Amino acid sequence: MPGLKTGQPTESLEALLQGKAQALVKVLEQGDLSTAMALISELQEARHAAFYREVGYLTRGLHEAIKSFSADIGVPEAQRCQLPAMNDASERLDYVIQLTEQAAHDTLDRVDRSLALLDQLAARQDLPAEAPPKLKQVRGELTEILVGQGFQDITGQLIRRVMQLLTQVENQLVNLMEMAAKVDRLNSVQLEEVCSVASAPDPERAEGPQVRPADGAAVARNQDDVDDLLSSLGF
Amino acid sequence: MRKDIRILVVDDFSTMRRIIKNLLRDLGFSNVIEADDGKTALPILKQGSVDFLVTDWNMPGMTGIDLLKEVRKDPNLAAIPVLMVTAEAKREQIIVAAQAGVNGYIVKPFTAAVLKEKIDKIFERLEG
Repeated sequence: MPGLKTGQPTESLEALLQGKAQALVKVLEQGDLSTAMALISELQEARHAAFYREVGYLTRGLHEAIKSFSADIGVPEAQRCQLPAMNDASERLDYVIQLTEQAAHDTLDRVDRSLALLDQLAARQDLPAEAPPKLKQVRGELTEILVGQGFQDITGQLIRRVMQLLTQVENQLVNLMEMAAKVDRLNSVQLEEVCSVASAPDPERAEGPQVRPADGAAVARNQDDVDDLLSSLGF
Repeated sequence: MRKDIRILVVDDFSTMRRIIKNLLRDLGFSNVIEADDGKTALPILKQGSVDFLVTDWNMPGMTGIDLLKEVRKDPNLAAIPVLMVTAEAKREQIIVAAQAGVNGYIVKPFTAAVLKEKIDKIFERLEG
């Protein structure tokens, strides 16, 4: 990864500011107000230019870091466009959703088969007295295993939100890089994707599973909380 | 409560649809159909054979809350009882759902007992 010269612009800015400040004091002493005003606006421009340059350096650094991450994880050179590491991260997360979905369905298949076997057993007439309550218990446990597979939905929703975040970060980064390229002519950074603006918070927008359900009174902690709230609304 | 009622389960996760379907079967309801979001659920509802709707909130295409509003807006569908089964747990959201006319609200993760209890309650009210 190429070295970044983030310190340099700040140093040259300082030298520039010093020179301009001295000149400003001089012209003010001479009472030359119009030159003084021109110097002040030059100072301001220098500050802006330095700021944009700094943003450019940082953005480029970030882009290089992501590109080298892509290289580390073996993305072919030709595919290292459009912030591929981010795409790759999203793909991996999507794969996690697929894997857990598959695993949950496998478990559900087994639960189904076990329940069917249980039904066959329960239908027999020659069962010992202690069998029916135990069969019922096994049925209850199997049902809990069934319901427990709901983890796949909850974790899947959370992972999708992280994927959305990655997409947003990627888009903003592309914007930043486009801006930096314009301002600082960072010609080596060429990304074409245009960003979609993140939408404002909306109470009707689904938020997905609450990660910190104890977050104050705004979040129902359990089904009892939901029931209390609904009954307070006349349900 | 009639056990032959037709129930539409709407959730974008096939795992969750299957779980709810199995639980409903345990409760004696075997006439269960599925849809993976509001957009695909609405035309099924409009065909007119669904007696009870169980829906998630957070789904691509059309969310459960929008589906609920569409159902309440349509005079042919407005009377269908709607149970929301969702991970959305903000009080603000539960109030929105209540105001939109939901009949029951279950937060994920839930238990088989809670599902049974809420369904019983909904039908008790409707029949009582």
